[in-house]
Amino acid sequence: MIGALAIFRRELMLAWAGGSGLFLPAAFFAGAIFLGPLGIGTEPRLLSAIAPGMIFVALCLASLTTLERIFQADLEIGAQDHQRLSGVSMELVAVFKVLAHWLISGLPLALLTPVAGVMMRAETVTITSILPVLIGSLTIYLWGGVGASLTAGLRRSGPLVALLVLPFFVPVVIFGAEELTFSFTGEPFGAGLTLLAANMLGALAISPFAMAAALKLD
Amino acid sequence: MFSTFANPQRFMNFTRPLLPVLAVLTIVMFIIGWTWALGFAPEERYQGPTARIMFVHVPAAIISLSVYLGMAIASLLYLTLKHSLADVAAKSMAPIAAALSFICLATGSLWGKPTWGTYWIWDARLTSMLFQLFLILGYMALRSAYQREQDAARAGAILCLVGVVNLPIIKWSVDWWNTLHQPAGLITMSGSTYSAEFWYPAMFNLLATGMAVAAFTIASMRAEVYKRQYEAKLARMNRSGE
Repeated sequence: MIGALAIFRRELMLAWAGGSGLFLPAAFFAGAIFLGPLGIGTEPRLLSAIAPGMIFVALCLASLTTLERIFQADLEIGAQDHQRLSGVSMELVAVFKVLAHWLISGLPLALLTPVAGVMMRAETVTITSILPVLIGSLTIYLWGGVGASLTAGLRRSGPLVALLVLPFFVPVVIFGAEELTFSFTGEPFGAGLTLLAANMLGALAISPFAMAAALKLD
Repeated sequence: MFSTFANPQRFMNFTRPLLPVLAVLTIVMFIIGWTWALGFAPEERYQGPTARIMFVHVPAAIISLSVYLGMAIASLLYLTLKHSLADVAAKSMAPIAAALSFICLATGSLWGKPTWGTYWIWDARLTSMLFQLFLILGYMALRSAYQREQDAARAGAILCLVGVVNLPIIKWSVDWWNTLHQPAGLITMSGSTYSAEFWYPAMFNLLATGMAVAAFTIASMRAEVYKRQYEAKLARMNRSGE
C-alpha cells in the first residue's frame, strides 16, 4: 500500500509538472461546449435543453485527449518494469495511476460544470450540479484506463482507444445527462444518480483486474 | 471435452469431413427456409409482405448475440487454460458476429421505413445492437493493431470479457433511457406474440442461420490453424537457416 501511494504521489507530481495535463482537457472541454451555441444559435430554451447532453459528450471527448498516455509514458521509459518488480500488485498500481490522472485532468472538468451551465443558459445552477459530472468522469476515466492499458504497447493508439471505450461510456452519458437535466431545471436528483454511482463502483471493481492483466502483455 | 478438441491436429481431423456436411446442410436449409418464409408463410394482416423481413432480421439479431457470447466463452477459456485453439475460435467468430449485427441493423432499418415511416429510430433494441456492433468492431481493430499473435489474443480476450460484463449494463441503461424519453406505444414489435404459421418458418430460419454460423466459424478456424502452422514452419526454417 505504501508503495502504491508512492506511485500515486509520483503520478500526481508528473502530471502537475507536465502542465498540459491540467490545462489541456479543461480547455478542450470548454471549447467543445462553447462551439455548440455557435452552430445551434443562442435561443436560451434550446441551449438549456441541450446543455447536459453537450456537457457529457464534451466530457467523453475531453477525457480521450490525454487517456492514451496514462500507461504509455512509463512503458516507454521502462518505469513500468520497475513498478512490476517493486512487489506492489499491478492492480493497485494501475488504479492509482488512473486516480491520479483523473484528479489532475478529470476533476477540473467537473468543477467547470457550473460555468458551462451558466453559459449554456441553464435555469438553475447550483454547486450540486457538479455531482453527476464528478461521478461520471471517474467512471469514464476508469474504463478509459482499461482502453489505455490494452493499447499501451502500440504506437498512435489514440483513435483505437476512442473506438474501444465508446460503448462503455453509454450508461454514464445516459444517467449523467438525465441527472444533470434535473439539476439544471431545479428538480431534485432521481434514481439515476444512484445508478450512476453504482456504475462507477462496478467500474472500480472490475477495471483494476482488466488493466493489470493488460499491462502484463509484454 | 474441451481439452480433447483443444489439440489443433485433432480439431483439423475432426472438422475435415464435418465442414462439407455443414455447408451442404446450410444451403439446403436456407433454400427451404427462405422458400417457406417468402412463398408459403401467410401475409401479416397489417404490414403485408414487409413483415417477411422478420425471417432474416430476427435470426440475425438472436444469433449475433449468441456468437458474441461464444467469443466471450472462448476468450475466458483462452485466458484460463491457454489453449490457442480457443483464441482461434474467438478470432474467427468476431467478423461473423459483426456481420450478423450489421445485417440485423440493416434489415431493421429497411423494415422501419414502411412500418415506422423512418429508417432509424432510437429504439432501445436498435441502439443496444448498434453499440454491440461497436464493441465487436473495437475488438477486431484492437486485434489487428498488434503484430504478435499472442499479444493480440490476450488483449482481445481481456476486451471481450470486459465487454460481455458491460453489455447487459449498456442494454439495460438504453432501455431505461428509451422508456423515459419516449412515450409507450412507439415500440410496436411485440416479439413474443408470433402465431404458429410465423413461428415455425422463423424457427427454421433461426436454425439455418445457426448452421451457417457453425459452417463459417469452422471454415474460418481451419484457415487460421493452417495459417499459424505455416507461420510456425516458416519461423522454424528461418531459425535453422535453411
